Amino acid sequence: MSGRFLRSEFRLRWRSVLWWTIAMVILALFVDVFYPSVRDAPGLDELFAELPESVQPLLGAVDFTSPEGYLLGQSYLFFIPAVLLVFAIGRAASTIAGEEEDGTLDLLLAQPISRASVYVQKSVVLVTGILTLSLATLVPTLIVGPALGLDVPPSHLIAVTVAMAVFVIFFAALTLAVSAGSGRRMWGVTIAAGFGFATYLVDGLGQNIAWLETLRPVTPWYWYNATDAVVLGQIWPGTGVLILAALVVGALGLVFFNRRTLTA
Amino acid sequence: MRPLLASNLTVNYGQSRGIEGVDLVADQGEVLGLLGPNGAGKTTLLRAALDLVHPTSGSVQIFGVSSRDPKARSRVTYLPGDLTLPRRLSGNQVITRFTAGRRPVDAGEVARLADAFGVDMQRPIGSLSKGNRQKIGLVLAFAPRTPLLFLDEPTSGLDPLVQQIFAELLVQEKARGNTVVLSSHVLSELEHLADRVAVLRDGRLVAVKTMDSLQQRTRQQLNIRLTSSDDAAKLLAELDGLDGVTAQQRSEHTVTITVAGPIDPVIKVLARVRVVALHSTSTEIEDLLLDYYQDER
Repeated sequence: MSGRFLRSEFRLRWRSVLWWTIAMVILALFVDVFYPSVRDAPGLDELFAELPESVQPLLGAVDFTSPEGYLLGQSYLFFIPAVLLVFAIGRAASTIAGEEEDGTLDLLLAQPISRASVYVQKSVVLVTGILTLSLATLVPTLIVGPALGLDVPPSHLIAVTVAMAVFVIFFAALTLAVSAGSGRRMWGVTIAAGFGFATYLVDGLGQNIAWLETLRPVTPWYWYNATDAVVLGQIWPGTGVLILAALVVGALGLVFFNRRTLTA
Repeated sequence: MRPLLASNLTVNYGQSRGIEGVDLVADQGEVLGLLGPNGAGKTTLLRAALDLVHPTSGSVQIFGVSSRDPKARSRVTYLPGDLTLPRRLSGNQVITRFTAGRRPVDAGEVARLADAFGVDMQRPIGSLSKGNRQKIGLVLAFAPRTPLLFLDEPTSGLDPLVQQIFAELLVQEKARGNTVVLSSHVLSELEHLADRVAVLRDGRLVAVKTMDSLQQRTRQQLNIRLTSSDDAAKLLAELDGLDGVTAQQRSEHTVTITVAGPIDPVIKVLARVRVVALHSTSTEIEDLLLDYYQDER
């Protein structure tokens, strides 16, 4: 029975995931094809070096003209994760709380299927969507990267993609937990987006401001270490911490969702 | 095993009203009407039985299985009172989506029901009228062929012809030994459908009566217009002394008769005078229920 439920969830979502996938492929190609022009314009590096030291980490990379530095600065440190977060937060908020606000959740849960099962299966669909889009950003760079001089080992690109996907999944779990746990789509979006933005600042500024430094380990951005992934192919223990955090947050959301009265 | 058994069921919503100490049974093969004004707790009772709201105290069982167990819902379907369906899906897709968590429904049964209601299952919900969307909701409730159906205000937005088809489906369900719990805020909707009526008021169960007993206690009112004042006087004189009958002259030519009990003797009397017009109202049953409400106050 649950297999049919999962299939029906996928059937409902695949079209929008397909459009997002196409967009992500175009976005990744767009970033890649500009690399030769940036590499040949070393002035950019000097411009970056002139920025205050406290601001530099917020903008990401160290060396814009190296393949690693370019991909980090243009894709993996902020831009691509941010686009994926838009997808993940929006989708996670709409998947249970959105249906509840639209008035269709009663019909879904009037079936002989537990709330926990619905929550978990909808999470599976959400995670599959995020993994698909992450893959959509990886494949173009793997294929056209070498021809454009983006000589980063494929294993490092895979590593950063996995780390990024897990990082985005954490935010999806947070959004789903808050929105399904409260029954309000907006709460999930506001808390996840607010948390994402605030912790981005804390992590970025904390690299130079001493009193913020101690707060960095509570930010997901700290544990999503794209630089180590791209340069060294190293994603642990950060990715492990984020997986654990996503599971804990997801479980808490389920407890609240299970306990509460659904809005008619 | 009782199809529905609520024992001392209380649902507390905080500030807004829920239900309090409700004891209610639905028997196999009956149509049980839930009657009460908006906000009386009819929907809360049904949603508690489906575990969409958790009881604050007390319990509900469906065929002996606690409502907290998802298995309980394998034997019941639900039509919400405020039905909303995803606008982009077609009728058929709605059926697939909202039955994906239960045993597969028979496509032939869906087609048969859609045909009976006269609704196009291919069109997107967004392009359908309110009445047609309600029909899809009814197909969704009837198609899984469960032994228990919860229908919350099922006939809202349906034209009389479709209401008739709905009534025939209820008869079929009963013939199969299935149980239907039907809610409404107007008794006339339940009058020809329900075997028993449970009256809710302010979250409490006020009365549970068989429809027959309610109808027996009904006072019918006849407004009679006669050809002359002599006829009016003759009518009043002949009605005088009839058991359970009160008559009042409203104007020179009109008489109002209130009948509690059998109406036949009144008809026999009417045959002996010259009647121009006769108007009968059957809203008295509502007044009867108002009595229950007032008793509670």
